[in-house]
Amino acid sequence: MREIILKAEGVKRYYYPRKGILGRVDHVRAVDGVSIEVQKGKVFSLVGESGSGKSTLARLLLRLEPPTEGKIYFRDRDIWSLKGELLKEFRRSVQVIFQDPFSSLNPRMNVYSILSEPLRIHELVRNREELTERIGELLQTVGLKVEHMYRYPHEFSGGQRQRLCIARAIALEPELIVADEPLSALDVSIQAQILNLLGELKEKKGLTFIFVSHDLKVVEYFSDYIAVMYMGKVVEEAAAEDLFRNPLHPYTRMLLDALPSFGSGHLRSRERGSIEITTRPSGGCVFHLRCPEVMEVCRREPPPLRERKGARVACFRV
Amino acid sequence: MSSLLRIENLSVFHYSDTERVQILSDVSIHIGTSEVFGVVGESGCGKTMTALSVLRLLPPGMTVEGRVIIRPSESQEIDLLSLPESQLPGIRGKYIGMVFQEPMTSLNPVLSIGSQVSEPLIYHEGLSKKEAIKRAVELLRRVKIPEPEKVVRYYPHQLSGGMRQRVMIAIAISCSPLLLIADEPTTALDVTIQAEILRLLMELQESTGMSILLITHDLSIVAETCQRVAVMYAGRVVEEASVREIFTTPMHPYTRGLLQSLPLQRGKKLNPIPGVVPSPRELPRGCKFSTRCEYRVEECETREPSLQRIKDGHKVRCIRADRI
Repeated sequence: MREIILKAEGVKRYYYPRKGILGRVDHVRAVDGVSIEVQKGKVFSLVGESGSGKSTLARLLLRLEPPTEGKIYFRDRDIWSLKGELLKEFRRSVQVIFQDPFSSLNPRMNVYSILSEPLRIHELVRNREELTERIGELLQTVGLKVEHMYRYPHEFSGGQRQRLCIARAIALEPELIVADEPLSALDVSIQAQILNLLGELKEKKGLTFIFVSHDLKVVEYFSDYIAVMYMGKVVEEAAAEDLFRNPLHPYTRMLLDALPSFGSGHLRSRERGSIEITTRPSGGCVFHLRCPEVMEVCRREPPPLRERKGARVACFRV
Repeated sequence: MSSLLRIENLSVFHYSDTERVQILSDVSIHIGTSEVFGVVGESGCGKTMTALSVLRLLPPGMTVEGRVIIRPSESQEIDLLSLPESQLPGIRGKYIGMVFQEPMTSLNPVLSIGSQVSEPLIYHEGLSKKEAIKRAVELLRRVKIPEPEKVVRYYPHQLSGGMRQRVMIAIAISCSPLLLIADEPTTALDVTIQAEILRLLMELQESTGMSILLITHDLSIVAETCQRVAVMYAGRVVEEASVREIFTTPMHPYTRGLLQSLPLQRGKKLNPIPGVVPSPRELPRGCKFSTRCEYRVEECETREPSLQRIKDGHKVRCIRADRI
């Protein structure tokens, strides 16, 4: 059974960094009309390069900022219509893990207070003994020790801090965890440890993940579905295996080609990559300035996101 | 293949009022002419310190032992570590160019691109300012910066990260160095830009014949670009081999652990190295990897193994290398 836990419909987020004399003259389309559906118990990944809007979209889905346009539904309820108990319930059910485990933990709170805060606010424990017991359990679940309870964040390594962030995220038994680049600040061997931990949690607790990453190897390994973003738009969305086996959008292909892979030697090849372009075209497909297969129509109108072989692609070529 | 650069028994210590901490221990690396040599390892393993020692750019409070010898020609050998300070500028930028990780902070924000690219040309090759700017435009074209005539007048903030890194490369190769040291040159960049920068480095290497010392944490980059590689752990080289050997028959448990940490196959559980890298103040007595090693025996905890040659071109710092 497909059960949709989170849905975004035509979500846009524009920023207006400068205002001219005649009102708004300049805006940044960080997220520009994204619709996605996230299935319960699956890992849905957002990939793209810096500036693609993946983190902004994650923030929108977390209700950390309002969309300029469009709606986001969690369990069929518009997350911006939630109030009182329902809003509290949403905040309990949706948790987040950020990229930098150094800045996302308060240096003046010890592990005990970091983990007890959410449990107390949401009244999930009855008394002190239960609280202490629960915190001990959480620490063990994420591979830390009970005796770490009274330590402060600076006493931990990066990997251990990320475990702590994960413990905080799962403390409230959430249904959905948004993880924004949770491995990027970590070394390879530690990345693997955290990746295993996230995988275990997904299996044991039936958690749903929205996983934001620029690392395609990690995304391929961990995801069920992948949405590739470019300049605020989803250009391709597909099951992870299909996307890597048969990428349809020229941008997805460019991303996969750019991956150093063992022994293919393609970086030594003579093929010339396109020079980076960071400006946004004024019309047409967002990718047409970099696209090796650009056609006349691509410059004129934006391609719609269409169903194709079980995937969704925004390209006139496919 | 003759060696262009020989790092011999390099050790680096950091002194403070109360303690002496060893940052590098007995690092020996030979880099051949026109060779691309990789150094991989996780943060704190000493890979950057090795590069900085070669250029004598270590932060204050550090002392160095060992020798670093560069051979600009058949008959000339220079020990960089015993060279007087006054002669170092003649080496840096001329024989050895360097590209750092952060293109944002390694360019001077208040100088134009043109003046930064032309500075080494004026200094080392004695060009006039006008000639140097002309050469700077050529260099920018060579690193594939579009509209180089315009870009020479730009300031760093007007360029993207990838373009800044191209400028850094242009500066590093301006005086045709014999060796380019590239310390995580693409870590701050997006994958598509990373691929372009690496491709550019490889093209320049082929056309100039310079050697490259590439420092990275990313094993897949090494696989794509290098001929030989040294794996570092806790300030030591633990394995050195050709790239093919490292990936097909890794012999040190740490190298194996690193390779098994890579998410290469969907759904297959990863087999990461347990624990964390110990701090240089709390290194174990014997083999520095023994606290995390699954093949550990009693001897590993008491005696530190030396870097042994197992077969031609393959060296390992592990007493059990032939049994695992």
